[in-house]
Amino acid sequence: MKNKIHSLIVEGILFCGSGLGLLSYSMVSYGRAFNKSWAQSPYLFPLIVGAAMTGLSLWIVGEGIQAMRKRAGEETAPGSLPQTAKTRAARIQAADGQDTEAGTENAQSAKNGGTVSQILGVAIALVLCGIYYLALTGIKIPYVTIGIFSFMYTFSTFEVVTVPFLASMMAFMGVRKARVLVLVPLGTTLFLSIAFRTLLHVLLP
Amino acid sequence: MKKMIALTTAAAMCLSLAACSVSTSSKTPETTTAAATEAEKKEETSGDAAGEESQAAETETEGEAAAAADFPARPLTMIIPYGAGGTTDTWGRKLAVLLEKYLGQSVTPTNQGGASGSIGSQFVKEQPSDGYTLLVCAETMGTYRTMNICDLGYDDFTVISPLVGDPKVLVVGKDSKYNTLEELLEDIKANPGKITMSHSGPGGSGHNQGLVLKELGYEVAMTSFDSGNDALLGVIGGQVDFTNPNISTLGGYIESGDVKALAVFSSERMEAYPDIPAFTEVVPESESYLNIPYTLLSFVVNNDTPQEVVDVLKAATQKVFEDPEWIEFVEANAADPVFEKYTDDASIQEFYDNWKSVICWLQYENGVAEKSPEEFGIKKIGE
Amino acid sequence: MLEMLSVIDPGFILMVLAGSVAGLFVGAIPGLSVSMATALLVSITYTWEHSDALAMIMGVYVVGVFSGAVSAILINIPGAPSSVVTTLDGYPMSRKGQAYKALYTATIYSFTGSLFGLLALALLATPVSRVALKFTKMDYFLLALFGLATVGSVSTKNYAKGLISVMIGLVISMIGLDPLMGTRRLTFGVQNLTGGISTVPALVGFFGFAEVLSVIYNLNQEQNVLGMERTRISLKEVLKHWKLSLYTSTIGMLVGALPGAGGPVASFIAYNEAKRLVKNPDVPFGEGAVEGIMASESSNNACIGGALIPMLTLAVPGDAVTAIILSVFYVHGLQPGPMFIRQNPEAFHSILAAGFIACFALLVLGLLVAPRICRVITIPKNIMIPVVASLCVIGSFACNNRLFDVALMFLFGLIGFLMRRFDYPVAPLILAMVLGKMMDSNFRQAVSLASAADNPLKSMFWHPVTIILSICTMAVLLGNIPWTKRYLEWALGVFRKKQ
Repeated sequence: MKNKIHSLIVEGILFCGSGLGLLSYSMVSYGRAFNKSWAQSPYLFPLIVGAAMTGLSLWIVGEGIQAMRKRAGEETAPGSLPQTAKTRAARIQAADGQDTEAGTENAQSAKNGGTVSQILGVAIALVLCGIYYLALTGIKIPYVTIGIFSFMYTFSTFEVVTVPFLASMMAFMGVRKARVLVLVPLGTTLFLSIAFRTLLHVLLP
Repeated sequence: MKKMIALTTAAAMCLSLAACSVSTSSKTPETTTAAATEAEKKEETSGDAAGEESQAAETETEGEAAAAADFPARPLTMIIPYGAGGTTDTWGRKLAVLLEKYLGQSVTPTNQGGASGSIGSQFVKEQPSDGYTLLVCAETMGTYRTMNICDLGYDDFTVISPLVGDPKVLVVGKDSKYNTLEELLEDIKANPGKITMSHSGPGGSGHNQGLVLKELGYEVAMTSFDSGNDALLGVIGGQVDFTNPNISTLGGYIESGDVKALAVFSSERMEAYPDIPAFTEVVPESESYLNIPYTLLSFVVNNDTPQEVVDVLKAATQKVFEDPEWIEFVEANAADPVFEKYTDDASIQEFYDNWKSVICWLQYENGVAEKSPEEFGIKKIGE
Repeated sequence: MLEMLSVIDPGFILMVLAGSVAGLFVGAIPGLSVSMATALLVSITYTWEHSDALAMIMGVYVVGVFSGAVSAILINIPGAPSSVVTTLDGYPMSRKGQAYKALYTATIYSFTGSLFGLLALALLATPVSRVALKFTKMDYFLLALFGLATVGSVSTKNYAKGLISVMIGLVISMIGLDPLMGTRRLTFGVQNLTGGISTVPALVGFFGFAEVLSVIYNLNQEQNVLGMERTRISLKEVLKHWKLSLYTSTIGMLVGALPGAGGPVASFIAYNEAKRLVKNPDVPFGEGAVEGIMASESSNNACIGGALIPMLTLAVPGDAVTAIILSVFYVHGLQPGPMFIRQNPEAFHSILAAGFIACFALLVLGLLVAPRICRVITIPKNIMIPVVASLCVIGSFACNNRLFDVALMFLFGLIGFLMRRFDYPVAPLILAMVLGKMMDSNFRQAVSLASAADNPLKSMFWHPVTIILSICTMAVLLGNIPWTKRYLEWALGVFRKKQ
């Protein structure tokens, strides 16, 4: 931990980069635009925002340096628990996620990257959503309409794709009962599709 | 009350049948509902074709065969490329209701605003050319290319008919030091670039009018506001010296005494407000600029729509123009009945060519339009 | 005011009730917005009597604004930008098992807020609209800036991080065609970005999908099923903040009356004020303080009455929903404007009557639904979260019918998740995104108007409203920057001593 660069500094540099990027973007675009008056130029506002962002990023870097100094100071005095604003914030966040009783150390590690399995979990979820999205765009199923008395139920790609998506998400999140894995996705999809497509006439993919 | 009962019963039915459809688990396609289903299917596909092009293409081929014979066989959609409540919206909705009467199918107006109306227009262009998607567009259609907003123009569409022009009035706030147009113009001459004017947006009718003033030698400081109404409130709130709203936006403000109307920006006075002088009465040399309507609404469909379909729409539109409700609406809004003047294809074509030529060159020469009208084959008037 | 009783008949009341139920449903489902529902109603109610149409739309409007809080409290997805602030305290409360208490508070104060706003509409429409006219372009910009300056202090311990989040929101709002010239900005040639980024995918992504990812991230450290407290809540205890709620409602009504700012700004300012005035809350703000919910809900509902004022008297819609109500007027041949209330008293009374009935419908529905719907949080997480994910997809798709928005939603979800991990608040981002376009155009208009004057700075700032707003904004900014804070406090100390 001692020699690690404070994450605030990294963040600050990142934002500084984007701020400068925005600044140069607006300058270059303004140069290219054919309307040459700043008063009504569309690039006036981006320019100001870019400048403000660069300024703020310096502030963040400054805070990062301050926090690093403080930490260095605290670590020379052993035994005292670091109680910087940042760790307090991390604690509050810990209350958000994990057990509040977990020590600052634990909160700190969860904050600065988390365990491999946690990141893997998020990555898998993202991949699942990505597949879901691709399925929604890629698969084209014509509208199938079933009429029961005067009630018309139409379904299409969305319904067909959503059921397996819900089931796999649930399975991934630890639902193991086969009954639940089949019935809940089916029921939910049916409910959503009737509520949105049929009753509210909201278009679904 | 009936609506209410219908609504609740419908809801109740849906709920009870929701349960039903779970248990019977499909496969009861009724023959009686097949036709209706087909129609609904088409409607849905045309509704979201942006995302599902292949399906749209499918309906296109399918649709064209049947289109000519019994148009319109299903509900139509009218795209209004501006937000709700504006001039285009008001007239589009009125037209939709009356068209419904003469087409025998429902016409649903849908607002798709943004980017000077180009987003909605682009959407219509992407729809199958079967006449089921209608567009009511404003005058910006003529200037998209030169303004470099998008690649559309009037020639991408078949004009069913021009609709109305909304007369523009030059107004100042009630506490303004100007009482007549002469006073205002004199002051502009004396302080070029110091008198402020608000307008509805670049390339729009209000802006064009400011450019005409400039051509005539009256240099004003123009600021683009969010909408015509916003520009008007700037004047009422005393932030801006004068503006030029459409008469439909001006509404009750003349009656309530919040503004003073100095002139109609046209070559003739309005019937509804005979006291307001025409601009040409004060500045006779402006005649050549003021014989065209600055705010112009047109009713169009995609340009490769089958002729039979266009004819059906034209006939229905003509009937709308004769409907007493329409005539009354035109009078109530003090609109300029452009549709009366141009009824056959040739005169419509000539009218739009002339319009484009005046406006596009006006904008280009004043550094408002980005691209030369020549690039798009628009000739300068008088050449 | 009593004339409005004349428009009420059983059919009218039923219309309002039907609208209210629809509003509850629509507002509570993330992604379905009240403005979408009213837009839908415009086409349905086209052929109706205008009083019936207005009755139904007011029902949807009043209850819809409230029910945005339901999803904000229960699943941390605000139903609309104006409910964003409710998530700050509402969601922590429901995590502690106090979902019912949160919903109860939200219901009561939404009710009083709506009532307050409508009373203001009934009694003060004309004077308030005159005040709104006094606001110049610069003032609107400053008001938005003031709102943004408060959010930094509202939702995080680190002010710089709040402001960075504001900047990101402003950058997102700049994508697409610029509001004045129609020039493409930051689209990088992507056609789908030309129309700009809508609020709904951002709202659903930054809150809903980010929540999904957070839960997955903490899957093993967290219990699967949240508990729920079953306590009786006394009305007296909930109502003890009534004085403060009058103040926040006034803020809501006034900000609502200024076109363009609307609910989100009002609720942020109200929240900031509540935080400033309540020195010792039982629970700190941001961790489940009822005062936070009170401030947010009373002010965003008071906005309804406020937003209707400029709509009726100046034909300027205060927010997205009033823009659609405006079109209902036009469709029915009514023209709002300075003469409207005098010339069409019956339409004005229909609006008021419908609004008041809808307030009571809100109260009844809220109290009926709250104890039942708050069981949602007892659904096991591993079943709830996938469902929320698919709701996010529907919501982001439904607003524009584009799959591109769904992709954007996923992206925003990931960014939102990372922001949470690194302690950047998302609420300021949403507010900045909603306000960005308005700030941009107002600022440029102000600059352009002033540049014609002999003394640009004087013409830009030398108005009473502008001076007050500039001072307020500067005070909030300086009071939160660590380096200047000391000097400001010192200066205030000197000032006090002299007194």
